Amino acid sequence: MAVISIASDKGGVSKTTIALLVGADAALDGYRACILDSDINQQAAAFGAKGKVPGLTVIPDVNESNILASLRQAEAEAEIVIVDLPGGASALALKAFHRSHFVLIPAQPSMPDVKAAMKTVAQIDDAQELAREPIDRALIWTRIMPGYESVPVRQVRGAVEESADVPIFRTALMERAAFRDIHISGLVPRQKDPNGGPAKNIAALTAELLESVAKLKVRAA
Amino acid sequence: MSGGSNPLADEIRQARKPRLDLSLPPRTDLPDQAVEERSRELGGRWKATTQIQAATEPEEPPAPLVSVRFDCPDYLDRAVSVKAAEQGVTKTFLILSALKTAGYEITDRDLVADRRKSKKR
Repeated sequence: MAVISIASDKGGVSKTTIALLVGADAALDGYRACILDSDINQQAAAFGAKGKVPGLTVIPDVNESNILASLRQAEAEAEIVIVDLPGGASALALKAFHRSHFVLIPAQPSMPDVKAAMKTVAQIDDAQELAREPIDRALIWTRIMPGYESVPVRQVRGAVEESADVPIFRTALMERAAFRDIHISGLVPRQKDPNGGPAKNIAALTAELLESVAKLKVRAA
Repeated sequence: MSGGSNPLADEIRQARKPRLDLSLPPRTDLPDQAVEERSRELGGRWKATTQIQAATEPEEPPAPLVSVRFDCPDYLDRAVSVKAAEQGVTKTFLILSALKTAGYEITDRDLVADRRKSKKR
């Protein structure tokens, strides 16, 4: 069982999108996946209520009071537990981090997102103190426009990739209309067009994330 | 949990992928109280928000008032006036308190020391 938190100090960086798409992709690969929705907007829970992805469970209304119990239950029943955290620093996030094996930090290549991501990295460091164990983490670029990269975007990406003290995923989450559609249809891109670009993007992201987690198992052995 | 069987349709099955071993041991199970205290302490460093408290039930408004006029001996009126001034309350409050002590039902919401002060707020 692996616990993965999706976190950023800032909202609107695609935390819920990643939680749902990766959770659904893993479920469609045959893993028992569970998403804990602790975001006040409850978008993941709304998606889960449509219930069109076999093997995926979404637990709604997870908050600071019940997150530890919710995590214990999900850990006992699922192979992959994904915690969709709200934006902003919170005691809720610290509680989730301290039980996580891996934290994925989404950020658009913009200064506000990068600053928020670095703040989240520092919070994970604090949570390590609470967990008394290392917590692996990585940054993922999100909402990348396919086929075009503006100068400011290139500058921010370049600067962070050169100097940031946090691993960065090779796979970026692209900006795709198909990702917004999941909330309307209740279906992920792989269920609608398994050979399309959006489905391939998510397959690559899921593979990179799960391989990162599997390496922890190898390292611990 | 609705996991269990996973009837994948062929059309959404992607190229065969190796099944990864994700069976990591759970993190050390620390006592909830310790996690609670420590995460609040650490969160305080970051000026972290905590969960939004549930809205409290709105208070019932005070009962509508009616005016009661009665005659009493002048010395009683003077004594009540002096006591009200000494205690910083109204004569109405003292009379209602006396009625409550005598067994009449008056809720705390309707027993206001000086209604003029609450109106100014």
